[in-house]
Amino acid sequence: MTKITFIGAGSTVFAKNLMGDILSYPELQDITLSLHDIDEERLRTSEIVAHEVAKVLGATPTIEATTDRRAALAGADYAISMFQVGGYKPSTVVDFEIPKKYGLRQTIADTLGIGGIMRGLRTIPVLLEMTRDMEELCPDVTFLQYVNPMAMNCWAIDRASSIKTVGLCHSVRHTAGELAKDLGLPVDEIDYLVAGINHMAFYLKFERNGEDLYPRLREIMEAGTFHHTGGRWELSNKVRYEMLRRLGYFVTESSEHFSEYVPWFIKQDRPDLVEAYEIPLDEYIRRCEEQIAGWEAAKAAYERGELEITVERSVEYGSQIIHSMETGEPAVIYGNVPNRGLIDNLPDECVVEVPCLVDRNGVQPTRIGSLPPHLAALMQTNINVQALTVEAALTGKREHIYHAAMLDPHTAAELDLDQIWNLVDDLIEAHGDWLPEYH
Amino acid sequence: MTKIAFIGAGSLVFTRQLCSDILLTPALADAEIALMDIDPARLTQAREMVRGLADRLGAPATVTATLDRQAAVSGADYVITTFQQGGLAAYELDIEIPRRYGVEQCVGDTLGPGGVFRALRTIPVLIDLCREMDDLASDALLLNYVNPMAANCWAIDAVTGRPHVGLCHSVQGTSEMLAGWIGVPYDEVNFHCAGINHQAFFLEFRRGKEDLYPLIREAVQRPEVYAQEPVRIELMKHFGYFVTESSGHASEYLPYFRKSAQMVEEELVPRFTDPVNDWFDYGRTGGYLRHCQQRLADYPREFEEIVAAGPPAERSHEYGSWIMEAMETNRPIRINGNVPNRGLIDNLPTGCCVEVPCLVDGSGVQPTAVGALPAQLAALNRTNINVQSLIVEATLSHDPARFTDAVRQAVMLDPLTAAVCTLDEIQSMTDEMLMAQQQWLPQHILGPGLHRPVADTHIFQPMERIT
Repeated sequence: MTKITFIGAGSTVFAKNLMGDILSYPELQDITLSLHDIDEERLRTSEIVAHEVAKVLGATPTIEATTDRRAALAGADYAISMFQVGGYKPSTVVDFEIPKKYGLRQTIADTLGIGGIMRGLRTIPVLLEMTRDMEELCPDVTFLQYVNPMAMNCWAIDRASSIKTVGLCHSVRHTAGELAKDLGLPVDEIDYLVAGINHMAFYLKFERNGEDLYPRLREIMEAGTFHHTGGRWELSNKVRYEMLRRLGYFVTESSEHFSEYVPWFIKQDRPDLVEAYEIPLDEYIRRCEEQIAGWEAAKAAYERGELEITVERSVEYGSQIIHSMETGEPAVIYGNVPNRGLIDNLPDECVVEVPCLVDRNGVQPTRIGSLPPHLAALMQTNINVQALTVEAALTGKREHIYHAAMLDPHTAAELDLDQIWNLVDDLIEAHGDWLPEYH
Repeated sequence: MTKIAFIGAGSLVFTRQLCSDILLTPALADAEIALMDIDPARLTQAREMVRGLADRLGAPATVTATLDRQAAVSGADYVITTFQQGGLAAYELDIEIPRRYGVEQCVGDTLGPGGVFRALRTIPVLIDLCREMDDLASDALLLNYVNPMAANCWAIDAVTGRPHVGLCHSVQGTSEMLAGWIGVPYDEVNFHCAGINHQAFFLEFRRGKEDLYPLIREAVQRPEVYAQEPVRIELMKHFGYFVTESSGHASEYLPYFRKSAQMVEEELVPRFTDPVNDWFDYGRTGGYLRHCQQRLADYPREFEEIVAAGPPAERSHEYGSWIMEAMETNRPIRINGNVPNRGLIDNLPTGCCVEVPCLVDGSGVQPTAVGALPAQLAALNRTNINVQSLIVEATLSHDPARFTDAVRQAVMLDPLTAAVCTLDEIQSMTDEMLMAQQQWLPQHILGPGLHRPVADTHIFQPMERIT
């Protein structure tokens, strides 16, 4: 019997989507679903939702819920991570507010930048505890890793653990859908090839029936007739179309994210840029506040049995991977995997996002070769930060945290060296026990 | 509309198989199938046969036939090669000259002196074809079925860099055979296979999480199983993994089994007692050549039978139609394809041709990275890759002296030849083969003393187009 373990199952909305995806497959309706969270209350809500999802789909899974991670992992065939260490409060707020004192503003702060570094430092030790448990309790497990910062986390796991891991993100599919909307085409008819690093991969090919769609995207760029993105958050997509103009390729993660991975958009003495590109500073804070309010209402409704559950397939790859590995029916997913021979002009072993074949042999990355040199160079600036954050997390050496922040393109453009060091010191202190000891 | 060109369409059995597959595939059934061969009679038969298949299957395909390779290739989406350069006359020389020097080849189409010369005859044609594709079908994918697979594909990559995939059915055939031995339904079996063509290994053979190798090791104890595949079973016992190409082939890629005519006759042949080995005469030297000669003699009758038999009801396990379908529909499949080793197998040389699992979808054939093979398997592969590398070296050479040396060195590094011949014998044998086969070799490149003016024998002279 296939056992799938959700780690951080109290992320109810995300967990519900994945459960819905998985249980929609006839071949997966009898699985064991083991839900784990450290928060008993959130776990209970997710358990109620899991039963509802199964009922709606007419599936008959065995559903377990436990706060004991080792029990959840024992004998698992698949483990899916969806937790957040330190949560919105205190950790995310600290990641935004302390840099703000130095004039360093961020939008999402979950990937790169000083916020991404700090998130990586608090997440990696927890992930490594989990992979150590897996080595003992389910050494053959396939680990579907959804937690950000994706590249840093997966890189650390690859260096420290033998667990088969693939990092998953919906940005490739999501952006394809957004571009299809801009083009007025059904996304199913578009054929694309994407490669790079998570949140900074590029559509190397974007075609329909052999027609290169880039000329049409450039027309849309010139005319400014593209749509807002971000679903109900309705955000501007100007940054990415600007990058299309400057780089010739479209990137996978949203404009609000991308603006903080590079030094060109958010500058304390240039409010005009933030305005012109409509960059939503502190966007992630706003989202968290909204989500928390929404969650409280939804939780109450779930528990009263009042909320009607509807299940639609999401764009997440998780269920497809499990389905293909169980049935042998091949699927193509975009996975974050160690760069062993996949992209020639990125460093060995860094984590790259490439098309992967999935079948009973597991997740098998395909080789890309060389990226256009300017795209590889831009990625390299982000990989520098990832490499040093991973180094800090694995060695416990504080100096590498300074190095990571010094190499961060946005931070380095805004602050001088003393400010960067002081900022790091302030953040380490403010995060307190959420970070391990650094020496 | 998809255009599929067959170069060497007169290989009627194979053409029939692949065309039936295409016509049975909904996404390809309306394709233009452009058949090309240099033999007008064979070509006409091929066209009639494929036209008949399409009619009987009710497929709306357009079938054309031409002696002009450029016309066939022009505007193609896929080009499939199934030709044999030099035919059986050249093949006979591949077997008989080495035999006089004590090199006892059973099939002789992959490695050994026979494989080396087959490659030398074939590669110039493939390169010309790739050049034509550059001009006339620049986005087309080349599906190469012509042996020797690894040397041919490596040369294509080294000389032209054209997108291609080399295809063989040995992985499918062997996996089906193994599943049969252990009584596991084929659709429940899963395997991971990698290496070089004809010498790839099943690194895993499983049902779900269950390792099926213990069942295979048990099955090979049964005399009727051993009688089918004595060489491959011995190799599994000693190297730990099951290899993809048949025992007749496998016996000649290594120095252990065919050290003399007496050893072949007294020690090897008696182990093959199952009639499945009839096609290579139970391991005897020249076994497959005689099979081919017999087939040619029986050809008129066989052709009648093929035509009378009508189209098959189901698609075969040949990868060709599955690849084209996946590329046209963007529905992913996995195949084992022969592709350049760039980052795919860590312990084989960069650039050599490896056979690895590939994803195929709308983005084409995308090889997956395998990592390192078990050390003993990589070492075996490398002994074969040595020979291939010198064939490619010869192909790339513009200096006649270097060409001849590289050919001699390719044969010197062949594990079987090296086990039975001295260096002087190898040089004499190679030179004799160069002389005997010069009509099929590129004239400008033959070394000192080997060049003898002959009539223009460029095999693909444009001929009148037949309609």
